[in-house]
Amino acid sequence: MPDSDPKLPVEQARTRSFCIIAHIDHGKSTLADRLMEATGLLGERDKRDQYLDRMDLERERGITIKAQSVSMPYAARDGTIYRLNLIDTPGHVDFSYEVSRSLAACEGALLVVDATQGVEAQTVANVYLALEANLEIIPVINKIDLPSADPDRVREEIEEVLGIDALEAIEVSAKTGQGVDALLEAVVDRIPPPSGDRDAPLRALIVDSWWDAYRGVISQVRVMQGALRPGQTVRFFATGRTYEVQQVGVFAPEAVPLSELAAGDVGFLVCGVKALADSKVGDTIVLADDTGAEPLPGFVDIQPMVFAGVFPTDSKDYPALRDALEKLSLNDASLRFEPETSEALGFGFRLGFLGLLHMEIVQERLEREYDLDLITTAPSVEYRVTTNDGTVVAVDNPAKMPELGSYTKIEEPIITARIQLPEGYLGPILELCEKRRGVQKDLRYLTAQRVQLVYELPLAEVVFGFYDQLKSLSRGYASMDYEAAGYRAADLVRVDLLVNGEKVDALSMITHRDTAFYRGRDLCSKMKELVPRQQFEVAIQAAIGRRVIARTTVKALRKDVTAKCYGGDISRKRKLIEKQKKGKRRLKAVGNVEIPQSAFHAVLKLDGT
Amino acid sequence: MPPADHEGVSLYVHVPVCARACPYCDFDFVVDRRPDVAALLAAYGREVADRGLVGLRPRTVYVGGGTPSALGPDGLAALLSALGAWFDLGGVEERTVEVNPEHADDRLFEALARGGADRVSLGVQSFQDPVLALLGRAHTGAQARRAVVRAKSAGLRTSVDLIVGVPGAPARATCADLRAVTDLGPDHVSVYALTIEPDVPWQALVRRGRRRLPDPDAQADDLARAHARLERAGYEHYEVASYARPGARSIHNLGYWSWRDYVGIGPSAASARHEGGGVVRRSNARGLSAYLAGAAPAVERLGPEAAAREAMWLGLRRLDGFDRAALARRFGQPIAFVDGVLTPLLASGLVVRAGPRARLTPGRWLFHDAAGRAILDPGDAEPVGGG
Repeated sequence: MPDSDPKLPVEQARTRSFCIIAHIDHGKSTLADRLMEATGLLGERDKRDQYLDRMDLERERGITIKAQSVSMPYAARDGTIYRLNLIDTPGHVDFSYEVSRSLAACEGALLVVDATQGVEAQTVANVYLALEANLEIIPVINKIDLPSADPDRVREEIEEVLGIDALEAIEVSAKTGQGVDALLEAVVDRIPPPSGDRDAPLRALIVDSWWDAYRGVISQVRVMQGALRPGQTVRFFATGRTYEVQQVGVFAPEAVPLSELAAGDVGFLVCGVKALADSKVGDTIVLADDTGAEPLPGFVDIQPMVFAGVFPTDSKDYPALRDALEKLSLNDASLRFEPETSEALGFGFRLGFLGLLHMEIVQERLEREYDLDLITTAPSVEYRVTTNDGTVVAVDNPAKMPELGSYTKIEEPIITARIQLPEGYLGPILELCEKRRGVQKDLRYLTAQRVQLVYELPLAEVVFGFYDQLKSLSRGYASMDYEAAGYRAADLVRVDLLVNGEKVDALSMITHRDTAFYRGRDLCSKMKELVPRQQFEVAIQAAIGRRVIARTTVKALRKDVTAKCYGGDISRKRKLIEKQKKGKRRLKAVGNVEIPQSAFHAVLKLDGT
Repeated sequence: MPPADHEGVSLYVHVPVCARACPYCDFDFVVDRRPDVAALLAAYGREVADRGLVGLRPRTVYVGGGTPSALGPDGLAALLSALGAWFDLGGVEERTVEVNPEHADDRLFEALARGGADRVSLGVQSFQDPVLALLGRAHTGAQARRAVVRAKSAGLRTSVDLIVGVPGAPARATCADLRAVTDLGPDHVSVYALTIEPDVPWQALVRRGRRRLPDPDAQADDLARAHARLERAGYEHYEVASYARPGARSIHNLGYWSWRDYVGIGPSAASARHEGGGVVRRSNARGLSAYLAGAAPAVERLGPEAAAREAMWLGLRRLDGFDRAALARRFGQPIAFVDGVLTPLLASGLVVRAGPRARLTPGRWLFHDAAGRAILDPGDAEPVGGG
């Protein structure tokens, strides 16, 4: 093992740690690539587009999910070699806690704004996080090579919207590399070096962790004080578990082992942690014998906010689904799952997600990487239900909501949503927020054309296609971020769907009493489209308790017969009937009614009005 | 004493030519206005010789298509005399030839009668010109009426095919067709609801907005109407799609629903042989050119259980159903097997027992496919290629 990487300096004064804050598609990953190229870390030969985004899925969505950092040697114009630690941050609202932990490992942030788009809500949210973390922010105006670039307008917007001096904003084109040298100089000049006593007791912050098939859990850490060295016995604060440090090092961009990570350094730690959940983002690592140690501030054991049932289409795939979830959770500590049984869908799992994007990603990975055919029920949130005897229970599955009359109060999770949009779309977006039971907290013009809305919204309303509607009502121009804002009591009811009088548990939904009728009616009519006609009439009803609030009828099938069947037809027609029979086996029987898998997505297709 | 339904062999000859293509048809045919009769007969002759069928003594003969009458009076006469040369037709109880109304002149019927045919199946489909236009047929309603009258006066027994439930047909077209049928009084009527298979030209017409797909409810109405009117006019509804005056049931067709052996000659024609409780079914290659080139047939072997299930499904097409003990014997199964398969159908009320027989519950014949799904077992049938 080399004592140290000869190219990387070790002094704090010559270290700069920073991250890139940007809205999706504003060019964060491309800029990271350019920086690595400019510092010689990434040669033409091993250049891959957007090196930091490891997974295909991320590349497709243009979102970085797994924070991944690199250390780059940079020869500045003053002749000094610096160690630049670029710390990658996830770029979506679902991951804001992880963003905040990444920021805590930095002294500075590059605020990347698209010269053609301007400041977006998500950028604002992350800038606030960066300001809270006392970071030096360098505004970077990207995509100046585009004909529609308007750096002056964007500069104004950065000042007006974010209150950040943009006079010295660096104009770059991550695509062509223009301005990247000036940016690197600014990083060295303007971002302060880390501080922290290298001789003090060890305090290291876990910025990220992931599963490696050969090494077990790898933790990305920022050493705040003291030093991490192989052979030390360390303790992870949140779990209290102790481990022996096996290896430390940096990514440049491949793993380079080092003899130590000292205060101010950012790098990786391998110490035999077996489960990802034991290396929690934001946790503090101390020496095992440092019994009086206090943890670094800011640790939160994050909890899922969105829940959904996931069932294999073919019940034979249940073990495969369980294996896939176990494997996925190796690399996704925020994914929760526990077995769930549905009368309609059989055996499956209830999954908890950080948010909707997280849910989509997990669902897609299960289907794509593990080749599973799944039915996902409509997403739900976790309600707090106060039962008649005064106990409070958490309910994350509408089917498990206690019966009417057995509880005194239901509270639902509330979020604060910050929405930015061009003012031309204000009318329909305000209407949308009001329809979704939003409470307006703020409405202000950021510029003459740009409005920022702050709404308190029930999370349950947001999980029902809110984001899609926001995008479609604003032709894609509105952006949104949100954060949890506690619980609030609401007049909520469980709407059940009944098929010929039998309740279909997987289709129960919780909704506000005022919208229950409309949602029930929409669900019934969607189901009518999806339930095939049977030999008898099928009544589809939506009900609150015993009260039916909406009803449709699937008329009885009147003809189910093959027109002709002579010698030459027999074999083919028999196979046709046999095929129909096989198809019917995939239907789920509710009472004597056969329901196709697609019907279980019906709740998802409601537009939420 | 006449032979039981399942006794004897039915002979089918497929004439794979049509003067034009109908957009709903998925039968095996080529469009040829001047078919090469000699080449076709030579190919039939080769097949008969190769399969060792010379001297076969069938119980019924049926010449279908395609459009057999497209061969013309001389062509049909040549075909019928060739059949007489290849096979022993001494015991034939019924000899049917399919005839399209546009070919139905006196010369044709004379040729058929001289050649020994005693029954014609007329491809009428409808007596209404607008419906015939939708179906792309070559004849008119007037020609169809004349065809029935001429066939009867030529001394031939007559069967009329009707297609109902045609989307876009004028209101009450089916009523008018049923009235025409009962006025003309053929011995036998087959009533089919228009069925559009996935790969027929009708689908392309639908995509271009020129046709619609059938409405199953309207078809159910038409089928129920046909049942009521024809029964009232004295026809027995004896199979899902077949009606006959007393004594005029198609002996040939009954063979298919009564597990009789059959031999099919010509492209796409199927043959079935019952042996050891199971069934061996052979289907000739589809397509005239493949057939002429001697392409290998597909062979399917059903074991006794699968064959028995298939037989129950087919047997229930007869509205009088099947004799449970006879079926069990024919397929070497205990009667308990037959009754076991029937149990859920009896429970659901789709099938009833009438003495030794099991049959669709009266009034439920429009749900025969549902019975099929209950009876057939997709796991049983393993197709075997080649041979």
